[in-house]
Amino acid sequence: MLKGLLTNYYETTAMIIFGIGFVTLLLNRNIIKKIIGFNFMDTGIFLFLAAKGYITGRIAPIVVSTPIEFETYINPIPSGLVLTGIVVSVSISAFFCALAVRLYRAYGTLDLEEIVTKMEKDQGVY
Amino acid sequence: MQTFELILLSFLIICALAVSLSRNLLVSLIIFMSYSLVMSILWIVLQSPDLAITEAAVGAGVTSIIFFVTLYKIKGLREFNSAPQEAIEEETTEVVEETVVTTKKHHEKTINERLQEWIAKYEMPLYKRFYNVMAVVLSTVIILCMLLTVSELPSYGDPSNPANNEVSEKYIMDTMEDTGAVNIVAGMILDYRAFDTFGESTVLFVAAGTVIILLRNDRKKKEKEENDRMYEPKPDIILQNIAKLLVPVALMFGIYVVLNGHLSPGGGFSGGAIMGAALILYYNAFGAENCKKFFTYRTFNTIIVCALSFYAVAKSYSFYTGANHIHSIIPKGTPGNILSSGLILPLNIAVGVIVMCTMFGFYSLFHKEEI
Amino acid sequence: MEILEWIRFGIAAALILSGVVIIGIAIFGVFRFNFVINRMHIAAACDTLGIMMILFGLIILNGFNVMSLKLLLIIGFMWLANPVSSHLICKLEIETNENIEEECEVIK
Repeated sequence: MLKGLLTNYYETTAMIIFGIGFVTLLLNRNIIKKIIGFNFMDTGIFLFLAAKGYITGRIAPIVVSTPIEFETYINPIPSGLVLTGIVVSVSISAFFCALAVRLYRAYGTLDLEEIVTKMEKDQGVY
Repeated sequence: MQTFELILLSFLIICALAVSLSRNLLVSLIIFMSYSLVMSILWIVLQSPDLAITEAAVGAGVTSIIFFVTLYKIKGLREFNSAPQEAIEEETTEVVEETVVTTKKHHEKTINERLQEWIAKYEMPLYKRFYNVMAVVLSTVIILCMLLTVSELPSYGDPSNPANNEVSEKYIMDTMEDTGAVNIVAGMILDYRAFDTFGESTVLFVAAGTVIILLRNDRKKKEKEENDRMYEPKPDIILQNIAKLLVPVALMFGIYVVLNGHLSPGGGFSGGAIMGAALILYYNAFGAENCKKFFTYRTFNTIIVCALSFYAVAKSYSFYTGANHIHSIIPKGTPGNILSSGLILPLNIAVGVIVMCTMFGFYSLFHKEEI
Repeated sequence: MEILEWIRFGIAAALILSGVVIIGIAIFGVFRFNFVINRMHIAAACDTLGIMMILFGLIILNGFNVMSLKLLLIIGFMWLANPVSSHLICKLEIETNENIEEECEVIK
């Protein structure tokens, strides 16, 4: 198993970054840290996808000589997928930050445990 | 080359660890910005220059700007630490004091009451510890499963991977004849799969709409928030003089990147982000009043709706003529000219304009709650 | 001419190496100083100089074509943007730090 991990070192790093982002999302109490963890998960997946499209010894998919040969360019499909993904990731981050600003204005803190406690006190559960 | 890649990848992992373990929010944001920059260098090593420009402009640029301005809004720029433990400890000490006071008055307590006191005193810390342990266990299990799968994947960079099949062959061989675009990725996302790009522009539009709903405040007489920790900077004369030089240059560069989307790396998204960043610099240097002279809420609405409708109408014409095998009248031109490749150039301009307005709108809404 | 190539390579290598060493000294200085304004001073000055040296080395390596012009434009942009951003960070620090009188004299 270790040999397989060391040959695909890009995919291994991408999965480790995904895991670190996931742990940041779960264990931190601050909302801004959770948003940053989300962004780490996103970029880890993009790294994985782009590494699947790379072929050693070939160049970027921009046509440089007219009789196009298939063996001179890398796979262009994962590139297109990741391009869409990067822009969607920034839209989601902006939306989360707007929600965080509204939460701060309503409860005065950004700590998730205190917000939940205050919410339950307001609703009369405790 | 392999050593270089390994050094960059280990830098990525160290940055990710540093961000999740640090207490100060400002420090984690700065490290996140440098992580984004190293990621864009990695895209170049992986031979995808489109992704490199887009990640540098959008990831290291606009996302970090939005995070910084969020910190400004929550007054967290100076001192803000995460995870203070004080609130939970106060409640537990109150409960302990009450039980001590009541046991002095009554000598006996039933088992029910003692059980309830024990639950009220120890419930929150036990639950928190249980949650932390289970979170770490769950994430370790998930990471181990994924690493097991990665070790079984086909080898990295092999030409005989199952991912490099006849689909990529058709895209590489036929893009220049069918669409006239020299950049294969641009031809793919704006001609063969233009519907996906339309969906992405709609996601941007919806995100801008939700941020407007959440943050826009158009009351005529605003209540002043407490200003003792927010320092409004007066306009700085050095910044204004340099911005007079730099903003036209950045706008020209953004327009160049958008117009050359089908000939070289770039395209609508990265060019739009560069233009948006130039507008944010203008907003910072000269204030919101000067920006309102040419960019009001009505302009914002009109531009975004017109660009999206134009994209939809133009691409519907292409779908209609393609599905019914009618010859379409859009000329393809010779590959290598700017005015070539059919509809790709107008669509790039539309996408660039949408992204520019959205990025500037995000910044302006976070900063002053109006556009 | 072989010797010309070697001279060009030598000058470019010396410039790039000195640029990297200067930026390394800046990193060391950022960790050793105590106050924000000291750190900002060393980071801004050494960063700008180091970037100029590295890019000049690359221009000499590349020869006399369009890419060297683009590198010159990058040097011009960095020399305009880097000092202004350092100036703004220092100004923010002076205005928002409450204990600034202990660290240095401020002329209001």
